[in-house]
Amino acid sequence: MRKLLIADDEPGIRRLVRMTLESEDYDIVEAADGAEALARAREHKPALMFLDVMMPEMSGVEVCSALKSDPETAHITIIMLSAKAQDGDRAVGREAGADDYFTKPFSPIALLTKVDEVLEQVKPS
Amino acid sequence: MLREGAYVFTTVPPAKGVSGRAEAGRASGLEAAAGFPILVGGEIAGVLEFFLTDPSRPDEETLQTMTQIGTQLGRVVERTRARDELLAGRQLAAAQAEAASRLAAIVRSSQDAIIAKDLRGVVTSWNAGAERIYGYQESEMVGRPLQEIFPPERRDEEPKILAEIMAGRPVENLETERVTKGGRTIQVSVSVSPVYGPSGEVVGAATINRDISDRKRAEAEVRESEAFKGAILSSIAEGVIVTDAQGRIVLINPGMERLGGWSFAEVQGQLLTEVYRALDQRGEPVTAEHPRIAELFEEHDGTFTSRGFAISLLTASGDRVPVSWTLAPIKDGSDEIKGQVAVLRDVSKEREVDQLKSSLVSTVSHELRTPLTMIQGFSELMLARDMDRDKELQALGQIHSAAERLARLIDDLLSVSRIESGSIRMELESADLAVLLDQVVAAFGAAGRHVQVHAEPGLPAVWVDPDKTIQILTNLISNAIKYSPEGAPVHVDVRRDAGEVSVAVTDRGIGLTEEELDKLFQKFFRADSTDVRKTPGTGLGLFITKNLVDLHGGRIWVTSEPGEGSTFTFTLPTVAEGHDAELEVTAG
Repeated sequence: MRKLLIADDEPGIRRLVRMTLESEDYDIVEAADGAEALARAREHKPALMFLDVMMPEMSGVEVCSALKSDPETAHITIIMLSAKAQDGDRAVGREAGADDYFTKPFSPIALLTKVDEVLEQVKPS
Repeated sequence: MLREGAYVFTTVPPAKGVSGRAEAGRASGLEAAAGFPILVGGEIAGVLEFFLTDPSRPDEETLQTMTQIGTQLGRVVERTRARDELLAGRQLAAAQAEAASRLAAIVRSSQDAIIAKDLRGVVTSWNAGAERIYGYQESEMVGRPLQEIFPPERRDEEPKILAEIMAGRPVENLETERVTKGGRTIQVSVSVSPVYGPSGEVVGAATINRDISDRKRAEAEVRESEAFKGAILSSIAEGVIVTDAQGRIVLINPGMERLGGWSFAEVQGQLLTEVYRALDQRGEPVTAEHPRIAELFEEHDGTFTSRGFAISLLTASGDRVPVSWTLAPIKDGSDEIKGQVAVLRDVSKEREVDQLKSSLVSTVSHELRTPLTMIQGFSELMLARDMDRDKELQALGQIHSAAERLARLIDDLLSVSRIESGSIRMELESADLAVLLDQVVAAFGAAGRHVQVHAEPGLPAVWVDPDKTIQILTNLISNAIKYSPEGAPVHVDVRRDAGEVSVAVTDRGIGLTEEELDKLFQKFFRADSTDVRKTPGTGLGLFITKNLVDLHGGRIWVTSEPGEGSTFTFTLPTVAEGHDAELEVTAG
């Protein structure tokens, strides 16, 4: 079963992502802050993770940089979730190595489509 | 002998080669000489000389006749000389008279007071100028001491002046005061010269006084005007720098000394551009050649004004202070530029507000987007999918709580807006705080959070707006819950004090640092940075709470230990304290 990680300090957002993806056959891991997100990612090495930008302990951008600079975790597809819509934040996410960027509020259906698309590409692993 | 008027006869002595004249005489065959004096005024003015070829003495009658001729010649010369002298004397007298009358005319017509006095200081002459300046007629002043026109506090000037004069030294341009006949004190410039008698001794003094009241007044006006301009410049809170046409600093005001950190003495004469360095936001120096100069300054009629927070000033201490910087040419009537005036204003506060505003936009955006995401996301899923009843209820529950959260946020923003505009309406009445507290605690209990309340029995009624009091309690208790670890109890302790009731809300949360305590009640302050947030929230709650407590005439404060937790305490006035409940209620 493919592992997905959802890191967001808002339980409602985690529940939304889980509900969106639960019809598919995924093993979903949750993290409520940046430090936990980093630990869970290293532990589970998910195929894809959703990473909220504004989180306690460590920001999503810091977590993203840490994961992308580590050969063990660099392959994880990271999709940033942000409540900030400024172009500057998008650029910061890209610089940190994020693969994609969703702005809140986002469409769960679009999110699901994105997940399918990404996992289709990384299937060989 | 000639000196006594007698003649002299002499024979030429034998040749001894004595004198050339005798030699020459002898060569011409002359043997004797006779001399007759020409006496003028008892002095020998000349001699009649006769040389004879016969060495024998002429007869006495001839000699006497010749002597008489000499005498007569002397008299003629005497008379001629006397006549010449008489003539010259008359001319001299005329010239002297003319000079004297010219001098008198000058003295008469002089605008200055020309006064003569003797060595005791008694006036001996007083011209029309003196009459005009001092108002006293000549007849009133001659014979009286000049000191009478001295103001009492300057009476000691006269002995000093007289001492100088007696020593033969003039007094020049002494600026002092005198009093007119009308009692008016006037400013005068006094010059005094000694007057000498025929034998060279000082016999008196001539004094010239000029009325300089107008000049003094004009000078005082200029001084006053300069002082006023200086005071204006000093009063301007902004920094002001004035340069000459070459850009050299001629003046800075105290505001600029404070802003830049250099004293006027340190920067005077230096190039403005070498002392005060403008930096752009990246810290690069800003000069006329800066590639983005047009983005940093806008220009209008030769005056340059920095835009927004584009420019910082590098101060003496190396700090970068954001400034608004205006540079204008100084022109007189012509188009010639005399220099420049720069006005710098510290805009740190404005920049802080600006940054706070950006952070508010960012925070509010985040706080709005999070519940919106849930409302939009769960409803989208419900529309797109067939869900069982249980899932639907889960989704609806999420939507509902997100909507409530949005409503609270909007309430908070409105409260802040009303607080800032001063338009909050307080509906004060006598209320039982214990009852209000029970309501609030019950609501938290319903949401599954336990609050331990300890209220002193027999609390007096408080004079409050009940809705606002509930808002205060709700804010503080929900904050305490938010910052407490899951399950840790929140305590509320209510006590009575002199004229007030105090409520203390204690959590076992993260606590606060000194720095955080300072800013706690500021708008949008959060006990964590923007990107790494420990707890959700806008940072509006405590700002609103403090303002609501203030509006009740109460106080709010916090005690905290980082890691130990915090206690927020506020007070509310009791009804007994200066309030007539019935009256105020009817009036309200």
